[in-house]
Amino acid sequence: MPTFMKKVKQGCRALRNIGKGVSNFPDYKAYVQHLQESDPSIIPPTEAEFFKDFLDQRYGASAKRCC
Amino acid sequence: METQPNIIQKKKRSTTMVLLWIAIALLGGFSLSIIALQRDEHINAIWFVVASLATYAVAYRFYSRFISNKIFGLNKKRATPAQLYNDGKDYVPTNKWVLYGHHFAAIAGAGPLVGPTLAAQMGYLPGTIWIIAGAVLAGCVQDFVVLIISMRRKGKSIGEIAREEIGPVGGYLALVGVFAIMVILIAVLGIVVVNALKASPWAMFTIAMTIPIALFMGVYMRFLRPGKIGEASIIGFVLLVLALVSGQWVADSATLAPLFTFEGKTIAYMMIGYGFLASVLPVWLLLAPRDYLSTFLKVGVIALLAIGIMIVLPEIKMPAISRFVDGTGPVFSGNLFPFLFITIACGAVSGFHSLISSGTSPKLIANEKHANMIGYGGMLTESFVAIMALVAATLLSPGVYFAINAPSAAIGTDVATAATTISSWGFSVSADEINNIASQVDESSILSRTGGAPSLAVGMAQIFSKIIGGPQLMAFWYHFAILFEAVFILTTIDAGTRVGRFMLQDLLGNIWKPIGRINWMPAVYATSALVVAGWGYFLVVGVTDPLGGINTLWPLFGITNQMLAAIALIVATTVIIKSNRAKYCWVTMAPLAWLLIVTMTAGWQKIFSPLPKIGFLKQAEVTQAALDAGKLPAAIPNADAAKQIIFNNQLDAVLTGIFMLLILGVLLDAMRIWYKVLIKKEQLPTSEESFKESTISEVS
Repeated sequence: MPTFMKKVKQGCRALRNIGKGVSNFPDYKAYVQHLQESDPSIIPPTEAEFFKDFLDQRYGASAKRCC
Repeated sequence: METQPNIIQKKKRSTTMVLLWIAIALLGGFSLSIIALQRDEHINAIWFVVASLATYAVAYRFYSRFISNKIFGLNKKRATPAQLYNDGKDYVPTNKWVLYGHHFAAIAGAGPLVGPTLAAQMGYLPGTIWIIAGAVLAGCVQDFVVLIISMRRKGKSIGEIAREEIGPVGGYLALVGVFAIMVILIAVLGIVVVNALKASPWAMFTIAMTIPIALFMGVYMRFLRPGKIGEASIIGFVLLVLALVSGQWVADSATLAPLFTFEGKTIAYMMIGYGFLASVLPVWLLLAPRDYLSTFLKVGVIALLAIGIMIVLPEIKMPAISRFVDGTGPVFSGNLFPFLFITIACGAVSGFHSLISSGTSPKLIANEKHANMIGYGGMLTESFVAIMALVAATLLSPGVYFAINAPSAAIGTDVATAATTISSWGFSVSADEINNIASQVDESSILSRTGGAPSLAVGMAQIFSKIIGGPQLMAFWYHFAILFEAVFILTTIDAGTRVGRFMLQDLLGNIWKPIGRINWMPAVYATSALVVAGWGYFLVVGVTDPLGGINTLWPLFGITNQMLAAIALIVATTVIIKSNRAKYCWVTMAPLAWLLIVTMTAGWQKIFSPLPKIGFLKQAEVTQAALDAGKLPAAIPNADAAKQIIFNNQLDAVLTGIFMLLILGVLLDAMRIWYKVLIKKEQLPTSEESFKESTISEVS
């Protein structure tokens, strides 16, 4: 049943995106797409570099934490 | 001709809507009156759920729209920072449900779980009314208004906004306030965890295992499969459940159990070491993976608790108003006014949220009209969490509740004395009953496990075990609840230490440049050690305090948190007045006035009350007198302990005084601006960004 499997895959992807969104984890593909749309001459970072920068920044000086 | 039917249809729909809203309001009022008036029989938890949800719905529909339409004129055509500065990373237009989830996960921590549990000593009614009314009129307003103000200023932080709108003095004082509250917050949450872990090999083993699990997840996300947060989280969760299950074997094993059985002080020192490591190690290794695990666990368990309460519909055993409204309660000291209102901070109004509302969330909002749901709605959800914590605390029999939550200075250290003492307060309980609960949850003792986490865990275990597993799984659910609370409290502690380190580097960097360099290791080690020493001192003192660290430190935390809320509301009022909306400034000024009255009264009483249980100075004086006379009470073992108590009470008094002066300083600085605008009719500049039309029509 290819359509069924497709739906399951879509569902999983939606769940994953919600999880990433809730934990405010950035979307690498969307970032690359954004870079290419705004200025194609910029070479996008690799996925590993991208997450490294993100983590350093997220838990850097501006990080916030609540009770 | 064609428009005619549309208008009629619209009218019809609005009539049904009006009727629906009247019905919701009536339902809410009816449930509230049941909660308020029921006296003779046990009341069912369903009334708390209905009363709160109906009130939230009405407030969200009418009050939040009033604020957004009349004061700020939120406009879906106005571009948000996420649109204007979209960089694909920090500023990203985000789906409003996803952002709502993120915002909620960021604001909700242990606060809304602990405060209501402690406040339950006064009965369920005072806490319930304050949680609902406080959230709707103060807490949600603060979160929402700060979110809007920050959203119209590129997502600037509350400190920056204070500096720009009030002045450098107010801004600097706000920054110092944030640092101070961070130190107290970490210490007090640390006590909560220590009291849950001490003498409990099962809980200790499970929490200890979260560290290697987090390290593995960190390596996985960094090297094995970069950025695969979903996979890593699932693996982490499975390992966590394994650790939880094997915790029981450890606890039952004669050889392993002693390895994981520690007294409170030892655990406190371990946490201090852990906090230091988390602050100096790279974030990807320990802090980030823990954070993800804790976020998912938090949202999941809170949802489970809500579902559990709605399925089980437990009966509330605590009286509506207990005798302890007179201020003689063992869990925290002081009268209902002002101390109930600082004991329940998060869940009703929490100043900490102003940091989140002016942090990540305003940079992610896709459409101005989403702010109602994120700001106002996010806090309503936290308030509901507080209501559920109150239900979980009050469904325990009051005798058991006091056995867990009263310090040993009040109920003694053995079960028989505790049972007699608590029964003499009018909450009959037998020694067997207390022992029974302890053996059900597989703990050696549940006496004086203060801090709220253990009693909440017993309440949660009672609910969950009624759905899955019955009494056999009580112990599993209890430790599951402890794990859940400890994991996200520890996440607050490690991330908070790190944030505190950056703040300190920032503050000290003004005096000596090199110390501000965040990559210079000597500076990193020095400032981390300073921050850890700051909260570590209060933690160790609180854990060893024979009078109960929670009893002393939780009010201090409540006062600082409410003061931060007052600072946020001062900033918000200033912005509203400066943008010529002064006729609506009561929206923020009324909760501000209430918070000022509450925190100033509480602060004054904590310093100068003639009752040693409440007043810091009197406690120091009484202890000194006892020391001089050589007649120390049984709870204080020796002269050194007495000297420690005297010094700590004096220190706490000074701190409280500093906090009070701080808030008055910010208030006076802001009133200078209010005077200029309202009386001298000066037109002052604001830092609000000008209107730019939105380029995207709808974000999915």
